[in-house]
Amino acid sequence: MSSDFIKILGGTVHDPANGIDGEVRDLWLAGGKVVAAPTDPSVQAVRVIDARGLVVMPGGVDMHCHIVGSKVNTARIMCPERSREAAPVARTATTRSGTMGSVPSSFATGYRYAGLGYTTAFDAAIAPLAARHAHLELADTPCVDRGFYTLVGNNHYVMRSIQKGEPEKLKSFIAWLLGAAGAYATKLVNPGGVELWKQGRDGNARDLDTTVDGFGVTPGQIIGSVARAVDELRLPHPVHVHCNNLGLPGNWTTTLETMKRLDGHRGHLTHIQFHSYAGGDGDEDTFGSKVAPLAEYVNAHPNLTVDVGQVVFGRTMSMTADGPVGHYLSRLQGSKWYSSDIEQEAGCGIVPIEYKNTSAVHAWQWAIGLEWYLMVDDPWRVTMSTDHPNGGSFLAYPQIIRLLMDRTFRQNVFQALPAPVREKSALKDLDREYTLNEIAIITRAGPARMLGLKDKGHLGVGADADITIYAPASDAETMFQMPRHVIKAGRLLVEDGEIREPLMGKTLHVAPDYDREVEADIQAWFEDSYSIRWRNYPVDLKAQTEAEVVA
Amino acid sequence: MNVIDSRGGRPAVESLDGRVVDTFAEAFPMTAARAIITADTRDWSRIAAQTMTGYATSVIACDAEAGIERALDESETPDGRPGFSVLVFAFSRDALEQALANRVGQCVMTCPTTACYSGLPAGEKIVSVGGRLRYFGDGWQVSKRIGGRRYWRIPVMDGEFLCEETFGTTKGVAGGNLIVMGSESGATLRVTESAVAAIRGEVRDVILPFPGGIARSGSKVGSKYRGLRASTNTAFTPMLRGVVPSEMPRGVRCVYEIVIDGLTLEAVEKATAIGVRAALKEPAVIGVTAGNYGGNLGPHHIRLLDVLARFGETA
Amino acid sequence: MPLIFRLASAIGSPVRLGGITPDRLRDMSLVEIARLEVLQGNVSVALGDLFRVSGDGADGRLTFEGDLAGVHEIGRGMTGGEIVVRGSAGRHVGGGMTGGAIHIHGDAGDWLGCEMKGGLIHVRGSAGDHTGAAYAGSRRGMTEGTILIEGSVGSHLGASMRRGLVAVGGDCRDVAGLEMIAGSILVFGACGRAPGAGMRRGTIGVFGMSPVPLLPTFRAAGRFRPLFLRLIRRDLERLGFPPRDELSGEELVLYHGDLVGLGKGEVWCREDGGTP
Repeated sequence: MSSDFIKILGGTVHDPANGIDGEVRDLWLAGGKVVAAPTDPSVQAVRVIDARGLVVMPGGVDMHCHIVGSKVNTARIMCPERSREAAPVARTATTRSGTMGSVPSSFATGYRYAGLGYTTAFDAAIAPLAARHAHLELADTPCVDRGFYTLVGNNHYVMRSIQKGEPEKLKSFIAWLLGAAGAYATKLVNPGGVELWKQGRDGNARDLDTTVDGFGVTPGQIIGSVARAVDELRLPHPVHVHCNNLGLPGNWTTTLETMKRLDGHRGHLTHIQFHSYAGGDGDEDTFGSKVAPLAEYVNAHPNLTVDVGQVVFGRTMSMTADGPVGHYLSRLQGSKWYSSDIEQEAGCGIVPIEYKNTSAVHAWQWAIGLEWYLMVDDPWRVTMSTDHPNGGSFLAYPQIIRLLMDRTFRQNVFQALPAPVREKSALKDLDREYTLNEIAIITRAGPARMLGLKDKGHLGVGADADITIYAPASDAETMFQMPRHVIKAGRLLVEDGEIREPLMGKTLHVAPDYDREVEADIQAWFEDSYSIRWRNYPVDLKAQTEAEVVA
Repeated sequence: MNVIDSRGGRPAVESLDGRVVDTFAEAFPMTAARAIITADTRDWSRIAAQTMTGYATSVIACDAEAGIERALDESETPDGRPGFSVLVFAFSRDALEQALANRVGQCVMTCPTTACYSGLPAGEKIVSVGGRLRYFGDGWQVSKRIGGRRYWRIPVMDGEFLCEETFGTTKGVAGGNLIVMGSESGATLRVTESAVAAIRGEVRDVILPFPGGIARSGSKVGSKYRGLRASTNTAFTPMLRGVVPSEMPRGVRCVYEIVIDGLTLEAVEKATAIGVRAALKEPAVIGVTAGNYGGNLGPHHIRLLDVLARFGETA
Repeated sequence: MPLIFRLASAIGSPVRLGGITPDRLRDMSLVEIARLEVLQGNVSVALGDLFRVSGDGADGRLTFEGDLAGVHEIGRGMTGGEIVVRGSAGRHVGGGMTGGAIHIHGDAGDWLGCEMKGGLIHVRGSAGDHTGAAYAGSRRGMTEGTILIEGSVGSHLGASMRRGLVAVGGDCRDVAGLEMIAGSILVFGACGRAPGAGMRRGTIGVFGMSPVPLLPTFRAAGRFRPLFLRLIRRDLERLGFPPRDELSGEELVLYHGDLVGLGKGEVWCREDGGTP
């Protein structure tokens, strides 16, 4: 079996991580990996995939989406009309049925990702207390390798250890927590702000120096301390930060300050579009873009990476651990709203939403997302995302690719927007068009690198054989909408838009070492605070699913 | 038969009995609507209808010409209560809408127990009535769609004022007329009254907007005074005989006019014929004629002899 | 002569008839119609396997004969024409329909006329829960049209209704008019708990019981004679609903509510409900 070779013949390969930018070459796969071509010329491949005239890239890596766990399922239950309005996914001989709409069901999610040529996806926000649910659902999300980031930014133990000035305890706690939850990385969501929200009416952190009542720490301290701990633990992915003040006019200053408080440590700022707004206190007239100064800072600070969080016009779902955002959106739109308080750890807000191209604010959001792509110089440090489903569905990725590659198409959409955006957005003068190689970076090679996944996002020897083969088309959206072939772990997953073999991926997580003596302290706090027992908290991953520890 | 030239004051002939002048009434298109007014009692619906049509004789100085068309019994009204139908005529749809809103608002809504509905089918050209009055409800008005029609329920002191949102309109005919000329004033008035009663009793789709259906101060276009649009019709004022040109036959001492507005030309023609025939029953009536502007202004020419022939005695 | 579908044998697994509408069948031959496929359980079957089809659909009339309690979505999405069921019908009758008329000479199941946008449904028997209501999660339910039920219905009658008329000759169960937006619901029998709970605007009439179990967030305004009910009565007569004296303009008690929300809805009933 391990010597069964598969050959991808004559494709135009884009492997930016290895400096290959559209070269025609063969690829040899064996044992689920990319291997060197056999030296013995008599050795044949058991299967040859004819990729002549086709574009070959590593499989896509979505490093920020919301696809599993309690809030995703709550959204499905809360908004059944969204699932109802979309055509159902029928069962086939090889695949299970499902529903689509704003929050597709689990199996449908996996199939659709595969259908777009994505082979790896990470859920961006899971509370440790809800990790078990997330893992069970990841095991029901076919086709992709997967994992999740776990919430620590409003965690009581984290805040306590920062307050007490105990960075070693903090480090051990984070390491222990990642292992107990089976998570891949640490996530900060409105650090400190969600705790204030949970404590009382209209509580939130309006700047990085607001003190969190009862803990005596500030968001700035949380950000700096966790970033430092993550770097010292040498985790593959930096601290993943959803800044304070998401969505509010004028929040760009908070974002800039967040970048500074990282103090040179690695940091990934997520869905940065939502955090780039000009404007005053609730003053919509001055709402606008501050991408320029933020992008300039990112360009000058290599410790920072971002994903965009592009807005797509249409109906979608806001689901976030940033509890107060849910309340804000629900009041703004008059729509139904879910809010929850996860003890000691996090919050959650869910609201069905719609982005309209007739709304000046929404049009700004759309434009700001594109400004980010076009104003960050180094494509290795900016990644495509829609923060699915918050900005839009992952199914819109091909459309976004076209917007980046085709400035005429982009201008056509832009010119139909409300006047304030048309007149003032930098987009009107941004002519840059992404090349195929740059697309390969922002959808595969770059996110894999940001995640520290050494075997993903490239096609060098030793890489996982996760490969997408596209047929060039008249426009980029058509091309990326339906790959000709998708290969996962060396097996043919998708052919001409159909799932050939319903493969399951594996869950990627970290299990860093920590000082076992700290566990006693953690346990004492846990048993004093939590409503469940200590021994029931950690997830036994191996019992649930195929998992792999990433060093 | 003797042909009498109307200008020379001699009666025309080849009519029933030679007293009908061979001339025509010149009538004009005007936009019209029908309002159905109901109330708990016939009396209250009549009061509302009369108030609504009170100051509405002529568009010379009124916003509309309006009058009671007929009484309606319980089986004929949308809510099964007694009522009246009222016709309203104005120069344009906008003018009609304004007139209806003012009149229904000030005269029907203000009247105890009333409700008001559209009496014409809603086509493309509609006017908003309840749709304009609803704001009187100060936010407490309620809209109801029943049987494909929309009504407003406006809270008022005795309950609710129910008013249909939009009223259908039609292109009606205004300015039909007949002029009764008699030798004796009492008899001339009485016979004109009977002509009014005959028209009102037998013809639907028409109103006679002047007081009691009768105009005593018929007018002509223009005046010696700058700014006056109309003035007394000197051709038919007996007391000026000898000093102004006259269209009255010898012996006429009293003239009354009936003006007829109708939803259709045919209705106006029929009403004219019935009115003329009724007027001729009085021996004191020396002649029956009609008013026109020479025939180049109004598209409808209602020839008296013509309608008498078409709408015969048995009609 | 209408198109006639006679049930060939008793229905086993439930059948979904959505898409079998007068407009669609108008220009089809009997052979083509018999070959149309519908879902029975989780397999497709031909209409001709379930029904003996005869007659002619050219004038847009379909008649179903037999006990169709296991046949669902009759008239769902129809835009015009007429469907008559001589027997009972299943769930989702006339769901989302925009025009035409459905007559059921028997009982009907749950979800009758849900999210209806126009037309008429007239049931001579009883119907189930969620009559004239919204499907789960939808902001609004019925937006136009008329539903007449001569018998009784279940719970959630007219929930989230936006416009239209629903009249029930018999009783209804809990939360009729739940979160109603506007429209008119008339129940001539008794109702269950909390009619009009959360209603914004709209009219609910409950004429067959006293007191009516309203929530405490409804305020009595007094006894009045609502004239507009006479207009509704005339409309119901025109549509063939058995005549009701309750709508002849006699005195009824008016309640405003639901004051937890906008509170511009109204409930008319016969006697004082006893709420403060």
